[in-house]
Amino acid sequence: MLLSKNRVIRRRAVVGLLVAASLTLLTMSYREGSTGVVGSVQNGAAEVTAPFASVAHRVTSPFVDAWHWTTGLIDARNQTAKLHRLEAQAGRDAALIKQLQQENTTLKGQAHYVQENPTFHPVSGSVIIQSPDSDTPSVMIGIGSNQGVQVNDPVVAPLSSGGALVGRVKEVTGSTATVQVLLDPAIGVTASVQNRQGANGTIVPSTGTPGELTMAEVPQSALVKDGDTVVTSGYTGRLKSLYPDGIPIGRVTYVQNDDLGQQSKQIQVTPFVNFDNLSGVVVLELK
Amino acid sequence: MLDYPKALMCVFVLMVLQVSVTPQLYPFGGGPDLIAILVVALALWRGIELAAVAGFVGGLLLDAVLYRHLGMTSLAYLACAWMVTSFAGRGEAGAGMLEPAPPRPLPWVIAGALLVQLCLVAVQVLLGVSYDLGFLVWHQIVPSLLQTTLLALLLLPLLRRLFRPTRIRPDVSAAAAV
Repeated sequence: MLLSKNRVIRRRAVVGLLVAASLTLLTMSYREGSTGVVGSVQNGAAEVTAPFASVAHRVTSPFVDAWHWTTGLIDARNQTAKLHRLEAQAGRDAALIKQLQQENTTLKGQAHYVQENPTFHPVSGSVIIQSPDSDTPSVMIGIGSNQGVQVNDPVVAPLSSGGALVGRVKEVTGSTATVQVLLDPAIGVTASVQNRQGANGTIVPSTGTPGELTMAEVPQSALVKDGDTVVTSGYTGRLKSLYPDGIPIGRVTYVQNDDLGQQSKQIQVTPFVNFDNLSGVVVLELK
Repeated sequence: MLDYPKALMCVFVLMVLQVSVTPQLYPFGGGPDLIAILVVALALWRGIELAAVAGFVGGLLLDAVLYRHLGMTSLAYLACAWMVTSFAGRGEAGAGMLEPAPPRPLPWVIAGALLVQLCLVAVQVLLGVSYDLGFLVWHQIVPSLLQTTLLALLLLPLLRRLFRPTRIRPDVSAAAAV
């Protein structure tokens, strides 16, 4: 019992002394800072332990390097995954930007057309029905008389799709309009070959080649070559054309030079507008 | 009596490792407290005297090498030794009686390391150092506890070999030998 009591006292004394020593050192350290006895003790301790620390550092450095390599590898994989996510995001953003640019181009095109043709007011509309009837091809668009559309208004493709001639408005209701497209045999558009003097004619659908156009009644004397651009001539004489001049129609793909003494020749024209894939049009309303 | 040299040697080796090696392995911040593992092990297996001396010397060396206020870490380790010996539930045995088996050390290592961290924060705050609590908890205390726990799994078996827990009170066995 006495032995146990002595042990308890000794323990308490040791712990008490150590606590008192700690508090004393803490007070001294706080008052003196890094100078005086405390500072020299710290410098001495650092000097003594420095060689051991250096050895320990060297011995363990391969393991530390291996650890860093492993964690670096994990970090690299995480960063790769993050980069993949960012790349996907960038792709989506790029697609969005492209879409916005196209919209911007369309709107700019409309504005541009107004500048060039101050007598027309462009109204864009979506194609809601595309007629499957190949004899009288037409499309129905989602704008009508409520939006100011009238019969015989010229219809062009959006500038983003080339801005080429599509046809004319054939029928109108309040909210829809039927467009007679260039592939309709009943349509005829006065046209000319750009930059070719006297190369005027009438655009009609090709009889033997679906989807192609023929420019008929072109004078034999007119010099026309493959690749030339055909535009509306906008005839303004007594029989005024429905279409303003300069609207692109298509590109010359074949010139039939008639050597049988005929006065005119035919030119095959591929339209700029893809009538099978027409999603939107612009109706040019007369102001 | 060989316990003291062994304990002081362990203190020195662990202190060197703690200041030179483990800072390079911080994955999340903080750092393992190897001295706390030793203090808890000694408190459980050898009693408060040896644990207090080891904690005092270890804390003093750490403060000196890391240029902190001397005595600050010693106080924290002394509190750790006191807490473990007081609450670990290893009661006194009578003369000639077997002492009860020491409790599992790992939970006490976690508790001791936490107490050391809290004591260090308390002393720093008393000395006028201000802390961002969130940063302190998530970048110092929690990572330090996790790393200390992981390293304790490696270190405790080694320390157990050096300081094998006694089942018979040493002074009684010595008296019996005389």
